[in-house]
Amino acid sequence: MIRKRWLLVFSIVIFLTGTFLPQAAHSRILEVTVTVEGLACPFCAYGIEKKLKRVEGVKSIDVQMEKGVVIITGKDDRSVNIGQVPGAVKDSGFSLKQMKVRVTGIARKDGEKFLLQYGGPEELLTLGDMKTEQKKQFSEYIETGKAVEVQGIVQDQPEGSWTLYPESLKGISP
Amino acid sequence: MNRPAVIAAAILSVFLTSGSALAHEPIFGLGPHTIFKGGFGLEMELEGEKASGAGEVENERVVTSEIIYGITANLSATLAIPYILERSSTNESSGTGDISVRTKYRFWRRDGIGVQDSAAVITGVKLPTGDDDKTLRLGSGSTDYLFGLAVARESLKWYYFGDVRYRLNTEGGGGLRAGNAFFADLAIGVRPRKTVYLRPDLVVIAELNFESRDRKELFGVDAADSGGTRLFLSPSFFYTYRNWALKGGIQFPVDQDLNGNQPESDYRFSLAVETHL
Repeated sequence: MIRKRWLLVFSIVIFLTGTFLPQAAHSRILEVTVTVEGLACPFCAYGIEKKLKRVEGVKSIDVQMEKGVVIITGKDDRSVNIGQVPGAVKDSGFSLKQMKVRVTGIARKDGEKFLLQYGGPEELLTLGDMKTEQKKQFSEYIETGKAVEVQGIVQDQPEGSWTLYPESLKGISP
Repeated sequence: MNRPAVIAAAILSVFLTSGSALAHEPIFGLGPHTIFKGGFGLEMELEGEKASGAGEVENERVVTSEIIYGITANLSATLAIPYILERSSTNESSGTGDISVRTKYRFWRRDGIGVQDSAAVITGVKLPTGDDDKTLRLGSGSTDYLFGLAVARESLKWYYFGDVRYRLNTEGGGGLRAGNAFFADLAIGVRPRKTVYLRPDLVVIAELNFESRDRKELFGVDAADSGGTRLFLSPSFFYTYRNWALKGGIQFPVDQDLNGNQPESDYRFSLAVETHL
């Protein structure tokens, strides 16, 4: 009887944490907007479609020739591996100008550094050049543990990490 | 060596030097385009020429299968296997011609939004794989070399191409050495309708193709009725959808200054289907 009760409590805890609490597992890079230079013909653009579709976590690609932009949509259960995008663009014979992401994750802080955890413990983006208002807003998300969606430009750093320069951030309801 | 053989060798050498370029390049000239790293391109091209004069009427059709491979995004290798059908007033022959291998290295590139400027060097070797014993030869029996330089500016609306090529020929079967040849091409292309990815895309091109050939040598002696210069005006097109391309064009002679008594080119044409995988 006691065993059954514990099993019931355990199941409720699992259900609640899985449904209502923000989870790193639910966080991911949802969309990447890649500005590509050199895209002058659709036949050549096939190379970039093919290369970017091989990037981990990519569900679909939308090439917008006129704007020189490729929009990558991530899979529902997986983050787009942004580390593979620059190589894919280079191998297709074009130049990467800029990469913007839309990412959901958990707000964290490490010393003075604001971080966004968008997956496992190693999947972290350092938030750079934040305005005072953004820092205040982000600190609230850290305190409340609310999941957050951030959009902004990402840049890789020499040590291999990524910095996200937020253009917008908002808390997301569970 | 009889006269049809010399004429056939002249016509053959046209095709063995022709562009067979990647899509979105001139049809008869060459451009600096390469394929993406690890990518394969497959092309099937039909080329033809009718030449007449000096008591001869020559018709030639060549179907060339090409495989292109992207070693890097800026370096590609191409293997071309031609199948030749030749017909003169008195003879006819067909079979596999001389296989050639080319590499293209895009050594310079400047990219902008919707625009790409680039330049590439091209090297190639043609192997003596075609039958050179027939009356109408299918191969030259020689190992020949090709060197070229191509530049281009491509944008969403306009295309500009320019290239120069030099073909160094060695002595082949029957003591015949085709004269070395120089080619220069200029092309301008325009896309009449705005391009959208995953929709059919048309580019129309006007090419100007110049070629200058040295006299042939037969056992070290110049053949009087060989060599000279030709200038062609060539309307061409490429029509693509995603990774498929249909491209073609016709070369009309504008000026032909040929040595001695030779048949003049009436027209040349090319039609090709290409896909990238």
